[in-house]
Amino acid sequence: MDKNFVFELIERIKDSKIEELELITSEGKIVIKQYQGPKEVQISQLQTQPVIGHTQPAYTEKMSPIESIPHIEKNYHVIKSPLVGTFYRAPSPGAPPFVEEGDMVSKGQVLCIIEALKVMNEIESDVDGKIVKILVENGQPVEYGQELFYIEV
Amino acid sequence: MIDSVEFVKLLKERKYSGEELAKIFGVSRSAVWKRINKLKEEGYDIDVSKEGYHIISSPDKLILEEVKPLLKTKFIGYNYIYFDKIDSTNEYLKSDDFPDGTVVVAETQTAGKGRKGRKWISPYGKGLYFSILLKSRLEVYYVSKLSLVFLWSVFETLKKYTASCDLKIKWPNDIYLNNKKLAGFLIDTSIENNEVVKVVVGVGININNDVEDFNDLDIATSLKIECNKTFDRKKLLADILYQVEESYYKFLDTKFFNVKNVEKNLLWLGETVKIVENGTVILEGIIEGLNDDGSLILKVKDKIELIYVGELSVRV
Repeated sequence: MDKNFVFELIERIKDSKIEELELITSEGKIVIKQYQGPKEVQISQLQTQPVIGHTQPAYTEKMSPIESIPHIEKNYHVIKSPLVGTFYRAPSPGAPPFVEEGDMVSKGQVLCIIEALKVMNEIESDVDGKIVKILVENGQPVEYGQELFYIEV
Repeated sequence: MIDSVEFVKLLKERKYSGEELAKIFGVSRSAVWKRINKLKEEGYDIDVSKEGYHIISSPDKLILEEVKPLLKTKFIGYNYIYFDKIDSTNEYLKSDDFPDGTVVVAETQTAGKGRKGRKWISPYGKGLYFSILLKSRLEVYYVSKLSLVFLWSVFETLKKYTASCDLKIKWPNDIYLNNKKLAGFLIDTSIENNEVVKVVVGVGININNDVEDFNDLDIATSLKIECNKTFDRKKLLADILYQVEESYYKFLDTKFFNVKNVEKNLLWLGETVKIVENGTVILEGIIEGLNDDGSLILKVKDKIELIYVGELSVRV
């Protein structure tokens, strides 16, 4: 994605009331956020409009491959660990992983194994969608409720 | 169609003529004759005379005809699948959709699995290598308890056969006889929406293995080696399935399992052990007991630690 294109986008949004813009292309994804202040405060902002610096947009510019989507992303379905244990991405050492980032998965498909007290628990997807992010490394311990996968539904 | 279980049962009782058998099963005499030959191939010793057929001895195989008459279970083993040889009984049950309570048994496994890709050696016809499929929906919370229920059921059954021997449970899920490994479990579950929808319990027990079947006699053993006699694998299997079903029903009903049952039989209880993870000792302490969630209570110096990962060792 062209950097100038991103800057141009920011310039265009700067003076608008747009709070958040998300753009996904084949190259990746950008999210631009602009702090408009709490709703009540906005009135006083209007009153003090001459102070330009105050309305300067606080933006986050992200131009990166799909992997590094920020944690706060709400549009994704999150698969959390249902138990305490060790996270495994493959059925056995040396075997190919159940899923990779970018893979399409369907409901009931095995995403990972969580081993707890020597019981191998296969965690299945409860939705159809695309794996956009795997948050835990193979062989790492996981806590109850820990986020494991982001799936774009 | 000849009901093979019934056919074998009759021929064990007394001599039946081909004509009688044809009449009983509503088939032709040549169908009877074919069936007799098939049984001979399976290893049955059948006396054939002018008066008819009679089974003199049966093969030491865990075939349906031999195990079914011994089963006292209501649903476990109702669907019974036998293999002379298979890669892994657990993998077979996971590969397709089978009815609740399906049991898969094999005389040998070519890729018998232990944990972390380790192999479980299954010499032909000497041990019990089987898997049970259970499909009751259960909250994930109960998984560790459920695995203790299976472990304890097998332990209790084996205990009846090894009264004079030192049978223990090695945390978290092995059975030891005279300080050597006798049986192991591989439990696979499927979890969907925080609910266990499927459990496959794989059990491997060294029964009539001989000394030459083991690479290292210091770590593993069989019932035969320790007790100096040959055991009836068919009866043992039927007894285990019965005990598993009883305990499983009770657990589903009450959602309760007393971990003290396992705790009091723990190997190295009150002794100093090492916790080994991926080949490194991560902790050393005294086994104090078993926690309600299945974790091991270890006293490390003056502190109590709950152990969820790793393996126990007294050597290293």
